[in-house]
Amino acid sequence: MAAAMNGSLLYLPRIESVDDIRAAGKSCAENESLLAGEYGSLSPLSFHHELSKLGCGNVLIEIMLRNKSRDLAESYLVSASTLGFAGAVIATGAFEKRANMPMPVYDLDATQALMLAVGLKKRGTLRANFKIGVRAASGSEAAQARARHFVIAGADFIVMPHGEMVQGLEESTVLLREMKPFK
Amino acid sequence: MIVTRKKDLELIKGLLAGKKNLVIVGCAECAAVCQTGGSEQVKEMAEALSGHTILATISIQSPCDKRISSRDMKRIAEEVEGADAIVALTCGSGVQALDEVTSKPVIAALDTHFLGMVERLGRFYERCSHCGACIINDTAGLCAVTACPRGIRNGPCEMIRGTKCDVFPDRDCVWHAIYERMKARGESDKFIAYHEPVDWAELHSPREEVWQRQ
Repeated sequence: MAAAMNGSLLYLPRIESVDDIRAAGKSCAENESLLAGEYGSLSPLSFHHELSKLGCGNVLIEIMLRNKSRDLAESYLVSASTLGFAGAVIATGAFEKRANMPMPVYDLDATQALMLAVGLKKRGTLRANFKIGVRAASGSEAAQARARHFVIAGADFIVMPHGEMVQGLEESTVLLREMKPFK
Repeated sequence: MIVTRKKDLELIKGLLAGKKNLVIVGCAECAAVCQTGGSEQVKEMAEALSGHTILATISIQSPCDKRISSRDMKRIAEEVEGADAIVALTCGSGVQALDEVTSKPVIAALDTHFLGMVERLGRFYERCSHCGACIINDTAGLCAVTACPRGIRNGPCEMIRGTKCDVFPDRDCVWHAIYERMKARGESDKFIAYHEPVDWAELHSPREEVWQRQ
């Protein structure tokens, strides 16, 4: 899968309006795959049709765990697979302190969510060609050990910020190219 | 130790409106160490509520223990009987134990904050979330569930910034600390031991521990 995405993925972190989706279409390099993020008010699940018409390569959805119980994470995975997303990227998600902050959920961590997704795929609940990625980091030995574990545990690929890499995981790594904010 | 914080005095005064006769109860254990409910704070509260009639003040060794609260409150039974309310400088368990043993309205004067480790007076740190699903034997003696703001049981997450936590940038990520401890002990292979999601079927509130007769 990493090779199919040419090792990079255009990241649209938030969808606040249809204009954001149009901007993603303009920012996509030829056949570049797109990761539709969950930081915005609008869920990428609702916009699969529009996202798939942009002319990008594969369209993937971010499954963020900060606001999901395991039930909702499963629902998002199954919905994404059913709707036709090429795959999902599991992300823990930012812990944003702010006034009137809702209760952070993190019912599952990324490893547990990966286990959930792999199990769903084995049981045929997710499409066989539905790819599962996990956001990872590389700045410490602990983070590198976790990234290696994601691949061992069944992730099709890991996703890192541009410029990061874990030795030995080059073939499994997709680098994010974050979209500039739409003007 | 249960770490408590004082509630706003004006809030307490508001809750006591119309209640003339009061008994003030402190905690000689946790709240005393926190300097939120010791005998000194009981005295300060009595002075702050000087517009009321304070029938009695008392510091109970463990007001959360109904056996002790019941025994000690009986010693001031006459004052309790005449009280319109009890002001409790205790944790939430203490408040409810006092309510159950006196059947009087109990006004909580403290917020119960967390289960704390005491480094020294004035320095209390949350090291255990009393989650009921302890993995500390797998994490080199560090409770990741508590030290990680997200409570991640298989970390670190992708938000780690080098070796630092993204939420507390001045602190090491606890999963980095766990890895370093394991590495120093020659146990880094144990780092990726998988911890299942918490089974909330048995761990939701209110929890009980009731011994069965043999």
